[in-house]
Amino acid sequence: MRKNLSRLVLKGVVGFLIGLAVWGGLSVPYTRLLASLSETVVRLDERPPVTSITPQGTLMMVDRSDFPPSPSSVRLGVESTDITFNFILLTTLFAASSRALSDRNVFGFAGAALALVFVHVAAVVSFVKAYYALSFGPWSTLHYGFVGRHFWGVAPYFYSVVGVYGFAIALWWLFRPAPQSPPKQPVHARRTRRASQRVRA
Amino acid sequence: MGIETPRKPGLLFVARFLAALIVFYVVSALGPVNDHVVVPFTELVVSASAFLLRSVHQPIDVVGTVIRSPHFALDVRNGCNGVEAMMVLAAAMLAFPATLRSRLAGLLAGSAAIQILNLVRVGSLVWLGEHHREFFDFVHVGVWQSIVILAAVSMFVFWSWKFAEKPLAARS
Repeated sequence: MRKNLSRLVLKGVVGFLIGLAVWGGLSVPYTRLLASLSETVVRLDERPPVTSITPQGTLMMVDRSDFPPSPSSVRLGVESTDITFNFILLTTLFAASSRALSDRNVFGFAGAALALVFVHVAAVVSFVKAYYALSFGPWSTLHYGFVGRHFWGVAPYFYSVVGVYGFAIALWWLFRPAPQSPPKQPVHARRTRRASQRVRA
Repeated sequence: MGIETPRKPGLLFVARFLAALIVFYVVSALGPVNDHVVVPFTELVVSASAFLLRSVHQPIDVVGTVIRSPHFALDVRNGCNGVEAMMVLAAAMLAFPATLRSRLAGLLAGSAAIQILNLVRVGSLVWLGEHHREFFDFVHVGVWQSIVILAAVSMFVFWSWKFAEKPLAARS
């Protein structure tokens, strides 16, 4: 038990370090991808499309072409690393598995990581929508109803405080390989045993 | 063995877990709860961290939820007070089939462990901000946030192995 636990912790530490290195190393290119995907999703709801999300390092700057920029206007900048660091958590959880490199675990991790991209896009969209729903006074009131303003007002903060962890844990739970149950007895063996019991009776 | 709980309730567990997280978040975000429970608790965390740092001869000053060293100040907010990890732990324990008694015991022990770890987190971040500011953001976001939540997940998995299944096994 203790030996298994040590191996588990060691695998977890290795997974954590790999996750940290990948997250740190790919943050800038991933921010570009995230900005592009999020911009596409936000524009689905716009006629004509007016939102642009421009990556600057790990920061995503949000602008609207129908609002003329002025020197005094405040722009929204969404820091991508605050949204994406749950990748480290996901990597560690999958690495701390008895068969970390088995096909089932690797494919499970790939599926969960792909699903996490959708979660990240949804998180960026929630930050943009919260900005639109709460920051433009009468314009916001005109375009977002009572429920919309409150929903978008809460969503990004929920993600920042607990959702960022909760979604990674939920994806790990859903995509990890199920614990292996003991192999079933072959049918003919069970029949033989029942038959011998009948004979004895 | 691996991080594998004895059974895999799958979607039902995830649905309960996320629903519990939403409820906990909404309750903690309510104005009166935030002002009269979360903020005083955060001040307590900050005072305890300051005590820890003073014990290793760091000159530390505390104002509310702000902890200050000579060249650095850290405002401890939601997300850095350990409450988020306690919410994750509580939501997972609530979502998993177990008795009320084992849930309460697990939550009390787990929350205490999370808060001890969180004191180390806040203390180390203040020290890092004072002496190695260039590493602060990376360690703050990438390292400590993951470690505290991984600790919560590990405690949940350990609890589900050791305690949560016992009453179910005894019933069969």
